[in-house]
Amino acid sequence: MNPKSVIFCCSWSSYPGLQLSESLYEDPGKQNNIIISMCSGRVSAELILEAFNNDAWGVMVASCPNEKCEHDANYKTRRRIILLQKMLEQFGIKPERIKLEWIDKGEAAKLKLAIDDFSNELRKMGPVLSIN
Amino acid sequence: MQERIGVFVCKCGPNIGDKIDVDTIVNEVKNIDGVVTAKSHNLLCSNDGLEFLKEEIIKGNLSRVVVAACTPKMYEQKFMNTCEEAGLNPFLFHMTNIREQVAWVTPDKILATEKARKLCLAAINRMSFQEPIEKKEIDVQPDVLVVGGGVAGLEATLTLTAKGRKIILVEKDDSGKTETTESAQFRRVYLVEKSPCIGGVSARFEEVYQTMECAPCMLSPELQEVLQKENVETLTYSEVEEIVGSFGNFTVKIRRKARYVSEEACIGCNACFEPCPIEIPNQYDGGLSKRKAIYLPYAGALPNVPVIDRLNCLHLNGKECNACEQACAFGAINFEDEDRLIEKNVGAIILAVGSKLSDPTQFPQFGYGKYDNVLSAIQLERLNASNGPTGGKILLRNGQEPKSIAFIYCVGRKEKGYCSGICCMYMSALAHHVKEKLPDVKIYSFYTDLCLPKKEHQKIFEKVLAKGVEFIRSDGSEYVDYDGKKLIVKYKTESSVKSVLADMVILAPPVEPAKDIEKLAKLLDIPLDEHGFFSEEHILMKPFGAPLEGVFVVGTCQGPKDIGDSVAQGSASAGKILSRLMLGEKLELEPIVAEIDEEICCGCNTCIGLCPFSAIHRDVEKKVSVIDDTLCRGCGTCVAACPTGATKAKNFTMEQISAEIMEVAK
Ligand SMILES: Cc1cc2nc3c(=O)[nH]c(=O)nc-3n(C[C@H](O)[C@H](O)[C@H](O)COP(=O)(O)OP(=O)(O)OC[C@H]3O[C@@H](n4cnc5c(N)ncnc54)[C@H](O)[C@@H]3O)c2cc1C
Repeated sequence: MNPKSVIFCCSWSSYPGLQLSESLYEDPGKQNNIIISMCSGRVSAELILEAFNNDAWGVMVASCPNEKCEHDANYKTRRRIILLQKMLEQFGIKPERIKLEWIDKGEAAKLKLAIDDFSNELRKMGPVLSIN
Repeated sequence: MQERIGVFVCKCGPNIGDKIDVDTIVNEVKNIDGVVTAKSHNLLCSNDGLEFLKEEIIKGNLSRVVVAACTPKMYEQKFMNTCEEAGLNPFLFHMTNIREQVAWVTPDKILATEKARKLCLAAINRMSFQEPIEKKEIDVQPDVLVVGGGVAGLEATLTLTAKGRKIILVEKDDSGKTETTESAQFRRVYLVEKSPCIGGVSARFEEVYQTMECAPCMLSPELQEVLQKENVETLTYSEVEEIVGSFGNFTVKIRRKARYVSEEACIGCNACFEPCPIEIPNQYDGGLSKRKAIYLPYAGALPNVPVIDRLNCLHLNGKECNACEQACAFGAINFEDEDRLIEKNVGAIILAVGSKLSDPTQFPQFGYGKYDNVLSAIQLERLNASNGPTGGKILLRNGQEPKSIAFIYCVGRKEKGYCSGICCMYMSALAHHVKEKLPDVKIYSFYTDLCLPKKEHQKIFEKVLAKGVEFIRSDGSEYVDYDGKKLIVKYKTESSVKSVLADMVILAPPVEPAKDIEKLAKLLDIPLDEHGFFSEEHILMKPFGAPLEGVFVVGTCQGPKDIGDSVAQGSASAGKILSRLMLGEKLELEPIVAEIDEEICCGCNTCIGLCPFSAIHRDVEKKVSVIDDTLCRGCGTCVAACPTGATKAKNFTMEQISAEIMEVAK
């Protein structure tokens, strides 16, 4: 089985980077699915839970780096994610399954690397056992 | 009503066509409920492709459109425009990226096709929840706030207000008769300056490189023009306290500090200075002269209206004194004056708050503050100025002329980690002026590296050399000592430690950010660079645009530079604004905003504190939160935080994104 993840990309920072991503081949077989959100600020706990509900092995949020988010929504997202990780741990979902990465405009290579690393980690962890 | 969905897959020539089996996808999605058309195209973004898309929308009477192609960051807008031309609300369209996300990164064609298929299904699934969004426009607010009245801010102000615009309105009445009205519109600039006068630091210098012109003479026509211009409101002795809003629509609060002297009544005779019993060092002269509690920063400062310094004035501190009031023949003194808060609406903001020289006591090896005749360059500028403390004479503290002066360049450069870029030139220019005034004075110039990049610089430097100024290269470890009579400058060359004797030492400390820069950055939520100057959006391509639309950082608050470069940025920022905030036109607002359902909102206020754009306020009567459309930028932070689900991010709703997740994670 191949790891399955949902990657939320900020439409203002990490996503525009993809424009430059030609020639960055990823390993075949991984299922990383990017969904664009206006800003990482939009990525609510519900959306992350929705991904797990649909059998994702993990969720990554790619947001502006430190100090780079013009309106600091990245910090608010971080707070939310830490809280969510703590909560999900109690339901048997490892905190490492939710990852916040800080990726700037034009950092396609970094985004790719982050996704690859995440996939590898997820491969080790395997799918989430049913929590229903 | 059943939706009529059209799906269009672009092959992007071989880019997608060779990597993904587009036909398989098209054939599969054709059969999905609601999809009435599914087609591929070789290059959908071409004129041909756009025409094709438009025809398909019209022909198929489509109510929803999905395009699977490249990143939406490239041509999404183009496709949305095409939808609009075909009569479809552009938000009933969604684009999914099968090039950067799939074709370019997945070598295996079968896998790539599977991935692209999922993305298409996700987009189609989203269509059931897609909602039309109406675009909103507001009248352009062409007025501009300029913060800082130095050369950069002044130039911006004058460029922005150079010309008004005639607006011709043609209206047809019911009977079909046309009526034409003409009106002239002018852009207003609010020039906010913290100090009592405009002109910035350079207005205090006698002669400036590269022209060796008298700066006050060069600047005063501009200063006068700014002060007299009808559409410029110059607010001196004022500071910005609050800024909310975004490009095209900022609301700013400005504090006009009480001046205690009426700008209308005062004629600038300066008769009030003499009787004032208070004397304190004048910071505008680098502390070399004294000023009264009622004062002008320097003779000739504009506007020519003094201020009373409320910290030091006896009357304002409860003592019995009204010497200035009695001396004023025009009743201009007003001890009852109070700070006023003024609110203005502007479309764009230019920050031009300049910089300062570092306090040389930070670098104790040079003896500044310890030895009387160790001065900062700015103090020598004031000694050299005819409106300065000595009337333009170069004098030691004891009133005698110096026989030898040591100029030390690059003070603190190592510690700061950047070259200030202007010191080599102004120190050379100063040496030149001193030599003109005191031909027999011996001048030593200690430098580590010379920075002479502009086309006039070399020439000036050679002129200074020809005057007999001795340039000594050291390794930057100069040390100033005092033997009771003379200052001793010790320095190291490659081979030995040496020293010279001097009556006066002039230091060129680093140019560092103005004091308030952090406060302004916070007000606007814009970043500073590692040295504390304002960051530019892109150092090469957008060297004076802040990373916030409609905000510009010009002059030395963006980094050290000379007058010419500061003026160029001031002008350029005005150009950017003139080309975007057109008088009499409309400005389109961000259509993707959040909205709050007041039926569901519990009034907890969580969103209000989180909104980065101060776009949410509380409706006190209804006890709910309300979003201001003109301020919201649609980031969705409030949506993620809302505990009751009352807040909705348009075009990024829970249903829409869940529909995508459902397909991609299948
Ligand atoms: C010693 C010295 C000598 C120089 N000699 C030369 C020379 O010979 N030739 C040359 O080309 N350049 C010279 N320069 C450089 C030149 O002075 C600058 O390039 C120029 O002054 C920059 O203009 P500015 O408008 O960016 O800033 P400034 O001239 O610094 O003006 C900034 C203005 O903003 C105001 N301000 C600050 N904070 C606020 C606030 N919070 N709100 C409102 N207003 C605020 C300040 O009071 C000031 O009036 C010299 C600089 C120094 C220090």
